[in-house]
Amino acid sequence: VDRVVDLEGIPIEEIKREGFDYLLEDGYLAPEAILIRSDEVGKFSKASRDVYRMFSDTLNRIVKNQTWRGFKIPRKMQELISYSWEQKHKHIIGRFDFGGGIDDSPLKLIEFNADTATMIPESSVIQKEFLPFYSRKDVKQFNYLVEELTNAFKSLKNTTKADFYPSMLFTTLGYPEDRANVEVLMDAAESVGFDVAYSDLEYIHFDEEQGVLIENSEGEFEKYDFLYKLVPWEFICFEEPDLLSILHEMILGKKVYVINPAYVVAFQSKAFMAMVFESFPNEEILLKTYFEKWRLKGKPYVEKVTFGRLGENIIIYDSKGEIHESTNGDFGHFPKIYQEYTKLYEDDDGETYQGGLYFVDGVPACLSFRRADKLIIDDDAEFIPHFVI
Amino acid sequence: MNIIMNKSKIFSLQNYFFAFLTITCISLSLSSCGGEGKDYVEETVEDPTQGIIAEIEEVKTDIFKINNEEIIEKREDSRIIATFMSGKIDTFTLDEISLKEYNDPVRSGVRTAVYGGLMGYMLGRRMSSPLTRSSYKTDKAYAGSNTTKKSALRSTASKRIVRTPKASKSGYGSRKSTRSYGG
Repeated sequence: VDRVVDLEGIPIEEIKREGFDYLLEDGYLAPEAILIRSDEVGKFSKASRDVYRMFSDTLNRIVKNQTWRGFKIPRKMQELISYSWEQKHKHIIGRFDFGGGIDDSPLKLIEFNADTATMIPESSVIQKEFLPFYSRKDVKQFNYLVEELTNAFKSLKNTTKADFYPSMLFTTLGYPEDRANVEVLMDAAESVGFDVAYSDLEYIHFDEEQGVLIENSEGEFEKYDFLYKLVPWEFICFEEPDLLSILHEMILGKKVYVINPAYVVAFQSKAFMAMVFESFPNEEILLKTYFEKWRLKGKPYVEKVTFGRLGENIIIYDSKGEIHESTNGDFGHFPKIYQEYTKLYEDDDGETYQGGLYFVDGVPACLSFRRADKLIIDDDAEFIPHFVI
Repeated sequence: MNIIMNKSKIFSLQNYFFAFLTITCISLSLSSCGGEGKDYVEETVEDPTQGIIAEIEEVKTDIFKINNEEIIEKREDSRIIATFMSGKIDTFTLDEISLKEYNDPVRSGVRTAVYGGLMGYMLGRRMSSPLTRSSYKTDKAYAGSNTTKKSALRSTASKRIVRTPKASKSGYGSRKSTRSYGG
């Protein structure tokens, strides 16, 4: 049975009121929604907890044994991973992307957007605004993203108050949609008592002695004890190695507390998925993932780069080894891994759906679906709200 | 450095400036003594001597992508021809987009787009750094600029040696806003 239902419209006024007008461009939103059973929500939720435990166990072993083979990251990054993991720095938000999970098709982890998960405005504030546009009024939504973010920042403030003043600087590389995502996070942090500010990364001053500084309009430099960066750790590693060196000194010297913490770069890496699968080869939720493509010979599989994002640089091969679908992108220079192909939920029109589960400070917080008219869910995919029946 | 407030602690610009000046002076002093290059980074910088005509297109509000770039003889004749979603066409000179315009999203968007392309090399980007694929609308446009056109521009570039103090600790991720870094 097709789970997709028509809506009476989309919440245009609410989107404009919130200042997220970019969501209205390129047909990103449609007057449609996907229906999810409450038992299916429970499976998504349990899967996220199970997978996070597997990721944590695997990283724990790597940090304990200092076995970094396969990561291909600088020593300073390895040290930051170890330090932030051992210090239990808070992983505020990530999003698991799953295939399946609908109509009893098995849930399969596709990847973990552990570091810089976006789609936050539409998944949190805006997704709720779709509810009045459905004719049935007895439906709910698994959407506690703002509430759990608030809890996470409150917990962060309480657990770090001995060492850090609650002032948090948020930064991105300046892309408007990334800044919009950060706004939701800023509101949550401010609501629990953080002094918050925003600056594009290029205008932030990093001082190994004094910490993270920005210049205010009076020509004075303000210090922030927390830095929330919607800037990928791998970008810092490979494109700004000097910044990595400075952050290395500052984090270890407790001059700044960075969110998401450095260890999430391991979770973010597709290479790590091969390591997790090696650790838990019998877990149904994990797709077979390897560093060598021959291991998947004779089966449909997907070639991914270790640090790809937004569906770029992906190739789907069929069981004969022929290219079935592929995307270009900016990340083709990274090493590759090979993952067993898994089928996404498909509606009666042949469009495919990928479920995302936001995981906030150890708690499953929100479901969010994307839809595409092809197999690779990339930046052209639509956002589809969900209703729980 | 003087701490004035302990809220989001505030440092006075004057004190910060003098601290920076002191560090810089020490650095320059050591460099001029020939301290084995320990206090500065020395690199050869290439500057384009030719110009560029960049054709860009607005693909979302204030987000532009490069459709085509052509090399022309004179740098000062460089132009950006922008086609907006409304169908309107506007032309910008290098001077008009060379300053960061915080309050003008159109100029900021235009600058961001061309910074990832060949024109970025006229706006302070090192010619040794690669072109940004996501600044271009199509693979074809990117490939055309990334191979023969870049080689041609580089072959006529002038060269100079610059020394950058190692104390410089801002400007990271400069002009990388042509794409989302989310997921």
